[in-house]
Amino acid sequence: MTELLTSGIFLRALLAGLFLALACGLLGVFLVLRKEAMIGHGLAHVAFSGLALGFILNFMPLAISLVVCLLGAILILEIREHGSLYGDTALGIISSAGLALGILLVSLKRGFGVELMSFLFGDILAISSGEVWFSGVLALVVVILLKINYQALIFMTFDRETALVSGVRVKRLERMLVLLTAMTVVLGLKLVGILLVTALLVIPASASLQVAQSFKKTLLISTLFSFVSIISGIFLSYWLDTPAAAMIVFVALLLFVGALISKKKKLIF
Amino acid sequence: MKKNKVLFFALLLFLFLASSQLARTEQQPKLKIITTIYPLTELVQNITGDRGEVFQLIPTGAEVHNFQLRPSDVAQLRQADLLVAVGPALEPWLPKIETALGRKIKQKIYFFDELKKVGFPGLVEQDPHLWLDLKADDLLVKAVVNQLAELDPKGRLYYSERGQKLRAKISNLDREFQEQLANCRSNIFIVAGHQAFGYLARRYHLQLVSLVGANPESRPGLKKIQEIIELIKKEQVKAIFYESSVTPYYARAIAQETGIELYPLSTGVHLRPEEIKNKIGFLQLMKQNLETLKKALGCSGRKDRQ
Repeated sequence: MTELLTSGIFLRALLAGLFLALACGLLGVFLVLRKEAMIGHGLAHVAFSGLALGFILNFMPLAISLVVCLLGAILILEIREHGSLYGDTALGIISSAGLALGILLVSLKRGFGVELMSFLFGDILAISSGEVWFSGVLALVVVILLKINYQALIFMTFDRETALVSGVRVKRLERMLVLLTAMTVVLGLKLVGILLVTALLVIPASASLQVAQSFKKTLLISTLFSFVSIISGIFLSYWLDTPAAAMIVFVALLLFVGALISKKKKLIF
Repeated sequence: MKKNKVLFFALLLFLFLASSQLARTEQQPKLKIITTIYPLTELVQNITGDRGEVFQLIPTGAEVHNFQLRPSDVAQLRQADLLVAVGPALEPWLPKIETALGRKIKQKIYFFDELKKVGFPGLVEQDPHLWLDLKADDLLVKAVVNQLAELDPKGRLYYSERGQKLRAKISNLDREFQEQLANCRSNIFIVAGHQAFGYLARRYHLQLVSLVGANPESRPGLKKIQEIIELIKKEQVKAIFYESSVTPYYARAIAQETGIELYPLSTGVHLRPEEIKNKIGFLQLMKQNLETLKKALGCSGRKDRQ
């Protein structure tokens, strides 16, 4: 046990995981309340095509994936605005476009299947110090930007039209939220993989909404749930010798079920 | 002027068609052999020479387990005289293909079954990496030669001659492995990847420790990683190996903890772009593996060679 606690692999996974959890826990609440829970999933598909492109060019797949994901995020907003479509329609279009492009790129080269596979489930137990730094900076940026725009974000989240009329710069805030989500998704891709990154954005926030009584508490409890998922997921991975990413999501699911039950029993905070 | 041009192109077309027709009549019909992965392709190609055409179903470098057929692959399969594959552990989708084709492929050689027939020692049903055992390759070559002779009796001598040469090469390399991997500083053979080198380790008496099981997509648990790190520290292991075709994330993470050195090994299935470009052969890849192993494990080789 002591060897584990001093192990660099464990510490890097824990640290990067906690930073990711902080970003996901906070962003998730806004996304879920804005009925945009699946945006993480959609952007993960876009990021997939970015990864494929990176492998074809044989140049920094994660960095290229980040750029493509940011572009995809902006495209989603543009389509939504100019196509006068509801939130998840644009998402449906862009995410399938991303996936199709990714599959096409993969089949063009037919030669990097294994490498791309590693991003389906992430490698939280094999991340570098640089990636820990990246996740730290990302978490910091998320916290600062949400803090600065806190009041306006709440206003916009609960009543977009009134906020727009009252002079809140809704478009800019929406852009900010989506871009932050895109960055978080790419980091999540590396840590828990394309298939599970949505889980961290959606499940802790939804669980928190079951039991929290105020908005501030929702943010707090959501982040707490994220933290608990990451920490116990990594420990469970050690005790049961199972992949960390899957354990993290399982813990988050358990928390969600627990939150549902405690809401039924009127145990709210 | 325009008419001249048309006439000229018509003539060109005629010449082209005629020449291709001519070439076709001169050629004897070639045997069509389908293989699944690169090591099989290489071995079979070495036997068939000019008398056969080998088509590899899974492109060198693509993922084997989730492979999907393209329409052109199905067309290839329809014309196949012989299919050479490893077995259900590697290509679980092969039976489905026969169903899709609507008929059985004429002749099949399953590597695993060939070895089972002769009671090959140490066979593991779930581990398909048979081609990394040179003794097994030798048996496969023998089986392919026999099958080809049956399909194309006129070429019997040709195949058996080429087969002999190939088998001599293989057993020479096997002997080199035996000799050079003797007297090693350490025989602990840690692979930060999936368990591909089980048969190789068994043949040359190396003690294999793999990060994950036989499936390349599974992810390791933290406990296993920690165990490997402790083993490295306790036994003062100096080398960790990774599969040369993928980025060694886990090997690097373990190296950061232990200061161990990283060495690439090839499974022969997923080649690096430069290896594909240089058309490096499977036996050459194995030879490279030998050099790497020898250097990494600090082997001085057998000196009592006579």
